[in-house]
Amino acid sequence: MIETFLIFFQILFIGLLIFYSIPSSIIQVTFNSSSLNLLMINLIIFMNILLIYSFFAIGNIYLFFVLFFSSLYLFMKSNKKKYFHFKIEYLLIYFYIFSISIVIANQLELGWDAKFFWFLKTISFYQNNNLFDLGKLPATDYPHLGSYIWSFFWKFPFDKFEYLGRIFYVFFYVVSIFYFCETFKTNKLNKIIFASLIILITYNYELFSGNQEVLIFCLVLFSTKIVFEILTKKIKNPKFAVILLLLSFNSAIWIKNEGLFLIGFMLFLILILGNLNLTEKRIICFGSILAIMIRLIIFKFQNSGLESFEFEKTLNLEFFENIIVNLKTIFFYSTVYILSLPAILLGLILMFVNLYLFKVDKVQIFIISYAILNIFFILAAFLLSVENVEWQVRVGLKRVMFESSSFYLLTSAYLFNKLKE
Amino acid sequence: MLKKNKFKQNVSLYLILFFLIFVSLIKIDFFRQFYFMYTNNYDQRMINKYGYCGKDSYGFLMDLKKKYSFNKNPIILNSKVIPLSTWVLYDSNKEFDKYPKIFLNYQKNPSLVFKNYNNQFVSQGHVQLTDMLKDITINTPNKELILDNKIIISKFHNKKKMIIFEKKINGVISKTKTISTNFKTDVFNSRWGNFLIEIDDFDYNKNEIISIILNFRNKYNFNEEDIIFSKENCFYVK
Repeated sequence: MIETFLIFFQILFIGLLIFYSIPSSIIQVTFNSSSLNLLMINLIIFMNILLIYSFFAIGNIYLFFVLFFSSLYLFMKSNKKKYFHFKIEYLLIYFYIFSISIVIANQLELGWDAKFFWFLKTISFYQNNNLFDLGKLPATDYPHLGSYIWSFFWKFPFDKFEYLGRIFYVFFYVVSIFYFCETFKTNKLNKIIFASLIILITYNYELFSGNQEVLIFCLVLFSTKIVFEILTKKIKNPKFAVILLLLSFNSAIWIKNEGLFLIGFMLFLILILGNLNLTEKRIICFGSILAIMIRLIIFKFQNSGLESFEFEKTLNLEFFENIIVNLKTIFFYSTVYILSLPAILLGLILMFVNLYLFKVDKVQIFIISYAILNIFFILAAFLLSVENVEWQVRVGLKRVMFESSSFYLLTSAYLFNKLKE
Repeated sequence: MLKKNKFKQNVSLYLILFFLIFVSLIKIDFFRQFYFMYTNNYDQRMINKYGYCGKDSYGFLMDLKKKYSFNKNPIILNSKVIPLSTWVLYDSNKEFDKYPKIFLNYQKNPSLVFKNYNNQFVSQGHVQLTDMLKDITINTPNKELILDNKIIISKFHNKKKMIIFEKKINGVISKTKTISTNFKTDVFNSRWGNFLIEIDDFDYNKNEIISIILNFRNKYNFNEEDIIFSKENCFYVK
């Protein structure tokens, strides 16, 4: 019973802390001011605040107090009526987070990589160590933000069970899906139905087993919506949208190495297709280069070798001898995994339906280009594996494909909106 | 009144939503998970999931944590093909020990069984922490089998067959007799994939061999007096 209460209040705590610890006045000016939009944007900003704080060897208790008291102050100051009138979607968001959190609390099982890398990093942060103490753990070149957030919400506010930290992952997952469904041009009830359908087809316990793929899935979903809004000129101030994309990119590169490409491709495509002015293009270029530079510099300070990127071991004669066999293996398993990832399967089918039904526009070019870049990325990543390619593909390909699967949901929103027009 | 009308207009959508929520709850197995969470405390659930001495051996490691204080993070070795259980006892403020002291699911004499499948013998399961192929046992349905053939042990790597070991066998084979090999190798400590055994010029259709067993030496050996605490196949040693 105690655990049920802890879960109940942990969700409230995460929601209120993220929603109120960041002043929403700036965001409201530039964006649609629905609470869900504000929550999602605050969540991306919140992740970046935690990231920056994690670079300093200062106990996270101070950060907690600052965030807690600022959220308390802003909560007191806020117009509660504006945000707190009953809405069925908030109830459902809470309900889904609570239900999945209960499952996590009983299942408890950590994934293979979670036990091997991510949870050890989480323990290190939980025990008040900092980024530069991670050197003695395996896979030092694996980024740390997901583990840092896990440890933060494990410790605050209850400091009781590790799975309380993983509730943040559930929170992010459910909120990002509901946020994405705002893309559909329809009434609230239909949007909720779409969100429930997406949860139904994408949910799997393994997403919350401590592995980090679900966070990238959510960031890709968030970025996809922003890019879609820039392309369809729905955003009043593209400059702020571009900054949000960069913040999402910055979070992603500190969660998993694939984030660099999966959201990097979006930044690249928006540069070409986005009708951005010179200042906005400069922000993207300088912002993304700066984010990558900071990551490389901090890795240099950490003394971590890029042990996951040993090209001298992979780019040899054997690589060229086996390339055909390995390509066949990757294509075979990709086909198998597409069938078990309905978001990709449906997305690819709808991509061709859209091409057949409607005139090719910027959104369609964006979807096709991203899909092609995504396929090339997967091929390159697995062909250049240090370990046996077939083994890597069997254990890792589905998870990498899942990370970008959220992008393909855009095809359904595009089709729906076009049919509505 | 307005709200009622709105509800009546959308009643089919509300029904769809209700149905979706219900299906989602069934998909995530909410009701069963909630029941088990409610009836078992955290430690019981952890032991149910990770085993006492088996799988990650969470129960055994937690017993060690209660009974002994570790100055360094112990190196924990597990004979099962799962990630190391380091996370259970890990203290980030301590260094790691130099030598392994905790052995989970320990097998003093690990062995790998091969069964006949499509004119070759294919390994069933995996072994870990071995450093020597000591000998080979051939199980025959009859008392004795006369062999004058070469036995070849191999593995596929990137779809290419790699021969690991070969030996000419010449003589009478019986259930109790083992073929000594004493071949020092750690290549059998594989987490995935199967090993194959082929016998040259052998008629597999006669079913004269039920199975072949490779017997290994464990890389880590200890005596009774080295053991500080043990339960079943889990050991904490000096």
